[in-house]
Amino acid sequence: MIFHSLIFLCFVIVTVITNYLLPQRFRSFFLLFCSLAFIGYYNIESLIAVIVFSFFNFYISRNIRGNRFLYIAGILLNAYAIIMFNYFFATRQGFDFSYSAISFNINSFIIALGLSFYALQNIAYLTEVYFNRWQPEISVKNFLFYNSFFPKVASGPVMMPREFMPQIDRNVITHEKLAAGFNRLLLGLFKKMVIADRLAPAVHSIFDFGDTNHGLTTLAGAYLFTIQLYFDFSGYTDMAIGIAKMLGYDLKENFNLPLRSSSISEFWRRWHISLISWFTAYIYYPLVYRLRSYKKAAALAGILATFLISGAWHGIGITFFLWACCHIVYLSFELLTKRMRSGLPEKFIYKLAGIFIVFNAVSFSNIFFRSGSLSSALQMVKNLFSDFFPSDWLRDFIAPLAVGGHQIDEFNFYISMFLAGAFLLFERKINRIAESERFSFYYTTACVLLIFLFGIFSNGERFIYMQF
Amino acid sequence: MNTVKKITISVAIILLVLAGLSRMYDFALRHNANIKAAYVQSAKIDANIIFHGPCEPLWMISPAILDSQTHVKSYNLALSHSDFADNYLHLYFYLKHNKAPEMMFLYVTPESMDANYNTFNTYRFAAFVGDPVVDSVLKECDPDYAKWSSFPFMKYAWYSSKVNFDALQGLKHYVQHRTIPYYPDGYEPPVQVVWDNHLEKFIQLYPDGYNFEWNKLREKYLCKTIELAQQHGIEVYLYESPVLEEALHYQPNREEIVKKIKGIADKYNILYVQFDKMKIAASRKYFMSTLNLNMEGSRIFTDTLGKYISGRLHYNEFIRPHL
Repeated sequence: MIFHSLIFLCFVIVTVITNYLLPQRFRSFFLLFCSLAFIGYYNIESLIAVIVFSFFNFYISRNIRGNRFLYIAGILLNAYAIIMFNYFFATRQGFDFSYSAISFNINSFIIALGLSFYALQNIAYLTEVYFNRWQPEISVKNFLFYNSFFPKVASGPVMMPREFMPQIDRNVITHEKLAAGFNRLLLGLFKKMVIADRLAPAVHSIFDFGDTNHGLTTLAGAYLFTIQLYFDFSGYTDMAIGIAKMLGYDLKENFNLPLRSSSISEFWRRWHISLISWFTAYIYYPLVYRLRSYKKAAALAGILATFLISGAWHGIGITFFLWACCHIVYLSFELLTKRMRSGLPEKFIYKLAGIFIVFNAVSFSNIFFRSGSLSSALQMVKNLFSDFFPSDWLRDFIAPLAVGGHQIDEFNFYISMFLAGAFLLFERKINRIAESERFSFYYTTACVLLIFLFGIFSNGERFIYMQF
Repeated sequence: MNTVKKITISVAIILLVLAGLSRMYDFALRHNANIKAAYVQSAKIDANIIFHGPCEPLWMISPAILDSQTHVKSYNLALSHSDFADNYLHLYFYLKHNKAPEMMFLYVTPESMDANYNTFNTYRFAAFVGDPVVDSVLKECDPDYAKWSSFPFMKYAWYSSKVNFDALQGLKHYVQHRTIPYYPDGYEPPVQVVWDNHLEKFIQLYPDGYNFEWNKLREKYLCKTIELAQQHGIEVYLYESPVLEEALHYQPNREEIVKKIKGIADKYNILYVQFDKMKIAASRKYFMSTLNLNMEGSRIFTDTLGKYISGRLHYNEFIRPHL
C-alpha cells in the first residue's frame, strides 16, 4: 500500500472517520491495529520485524538502568538490524563495496518496512532511558505504537521519545486539526504526484541511460534529481504529518525550504531535520563534547563521524560514501572559512549567489546518491566536465530530458518544469496555506483539480526514502 | 460561510468540474485525427488490405509503396508497443465504421506472445470507456484502471501524462476542422534510423540467451482478433518479418514458440507466412534493432511483401474460383 495509492487514501479516510468517532480511550488501540494492518499488508516480514524489535527494545529498556552491557547490546542490536535489513536483505547482494545499495527500482524489495527509521528511534529511546532522561515505558502497547504508527513508519519523521510518547494516549482531535491535516495531506499528494513523479522519468533517463550525455544535460539531470528528491520526500512528510494530525498526533517537521539555503550548514538545518537532529543529538554533540579541548578539530571530527554514519545509514555502497565525503568537504570548508565569510555584507545578491552555489553543490553530491554504481557516477562526473554545451539542443538536451523526441514527451517535460518552477517560486505562500488550520476553498479546489489533471496515478514511483 | 457548507460546495464544484472536463476530453480525443482509434471510427477508409500489429508493421510497411504494386488500397492499422488486446480493439473500432477488408496481415512472432514485449496501452481507449467491448477488455487487461475509471475524470487522470497532449491536439483539430491525420495511411516512418544497441544490452543481460514465455492472455486475444476478422469474412494472414540472424543464437526456444503459433494458424485454417529468413536477415546494415528494419531494409521487405500479396490476390481472383 503506497501512500499516494487510491487504496491507501480509502484506508486513511476510513481510519480517520472511525478514529474520530471512537472514545479517546480506544483510539490508540484502534490505531495500533490499523498500523499493524498497514505494515502487514505491505508484507508479513515487516510486521514480524516491527513486533519482534519492539518487544526486544521494550524488554531491554525495562532493565537498562545502570546496566551498561545491556545498553550497548541494545544499541548494537538496532545498528545490526539497520545493516542487516537495509543492506544484506534489501539488496539481496553480497557484501560488495562496488555496489550501491540504492536501486530506485519500483520493484526493489524492502523486506522490513521502515526498520532503519524505527531502529533509530529505538536507539534514541534506549539512550534517553539509560541516561535517566526519560522514564521507561510501562505499556508494551504504547511502545509498539511508538514504533509502528503508520503515518511515520515507512520513512519517518524520526521522533524522539519525548516528542511522541506523551501524545499516545492523549491525542486530541479538533476541527482545526482535521482541517490542517487535510491541507497538509493535499499538499503532500500534490508534491508527490504532480511534481516528483512527473520528474522521475527525466531523472531516470539521465541517470540510467545517460552515458553519452553532454555536460549541461547531465547537470540538468542532477538538478532535476535534487528537485525530485525534495518533492518526493517532503511530499511524503507532508502526507505523514497531515494524516497524523487528522488522527490527533503531531509529528515533527522534516523540511523548511531547504532549496533556499545559502550555506550547506543552513541546508542541513532545513533538510531531513528529524534525521539530522538525531545525528546531532547522538553522534555530533557527544563526540564534539568529548573532544572539546581540540576546538575546531573537534567540530571537524564531529562532521566527519556524522556524515560517514549518515552515508552508511543510507546504504553501504561506495556511492553513499562519496556522497557523504562531498558533504564532509563542504561543511569543513564552511567551518574553516567562517570568519572570512562573516565579513561579507548582508546583500541580496550574496544570498542569491549562496543559494546558487549550495544548490549546485548539493546537486553534485546527489549524483553519487542517485547513481546505480560507482562507474555510472564517475561517468556522469566525467560528462559534466567535458563537452559541456550540446551542438543540437533538441536532440542532445531536450530529447534526453523529455525521455524521447516526440511532441508529447516535450509537452510533458515543459509542463513538469513549469509546475515545479511555479511551486518553488511560491513555495512559502503555498506552505502558509497548507499549514493553516482552516479549510480553504480555493486551495482545496486548485490542488484536487491539478492532481487530477497532471498527477501520476497509474504507475507512481515508490517514495525514494522508503528504501532506506 | 461555515466549514461544512464550504466543504460541500468545494466537493460539488470539484465533481462538476471533473465531470465537465471528462466530457471535454471525450470530445477532444474523439476529434483528434492523429489518434487511430478515433480516426478509424470517423473516416471512411474502406481498405482492401490492412496491416496490423505493433511497431514492426507500423514502421516497416508503407501502404503507399505497396498499393502501387498491388493496385488495391491498403491501410496500416498497427500501433507502437501494442499487444493483441490493443490490436483487437483497434480492429473492432475499424470494423465498426468501415467495410471489412479482404485481407488482414497480422504481425505475430515469439516476442508477441511474451508479456515482456509490448503492452496493452489502456490510455488509447480512455475516450471509449462505456463501450461494452472496450470495458470487457479493460477489465481483463488493466483491472485497476477499470475499477477506478467510473469515478469522474479518473479515466483520463489515471494516464494524464498520456492524454493531456492528445486532448489539446484534439481541440486544435476540431477548431481547425482537421480530419486527415498526420500519417493518413497509418504508416509512420521510424524515428530511430540507426542501430539502437538493444541487442548488445540484451546479450549483456542474458549471456546464455532468453527463453520466451508463452502468455495465455496474449494467446486469447490473438485468437479473438483472428475470430473477429473471420466473422467479418476477412482472410487472415499471420506473418513474421525478417529477424536479425545473429540474435537467434540468444533465443533458444524460438522455434518451439513458432511451432505453437503455427498451431494457432492451423486451428483457424490460416497461413503463417514467415519472412524471417530473407537474405537481408543476415546483415545488420538493414536493421535498426533485432526486429525492426531500417529504411533500406523496410524497402526491400515491403517489395517482397508486395509481391507475395500480389500473388495471393491473383490466386484469390483467378485460381481459387476454379479449384
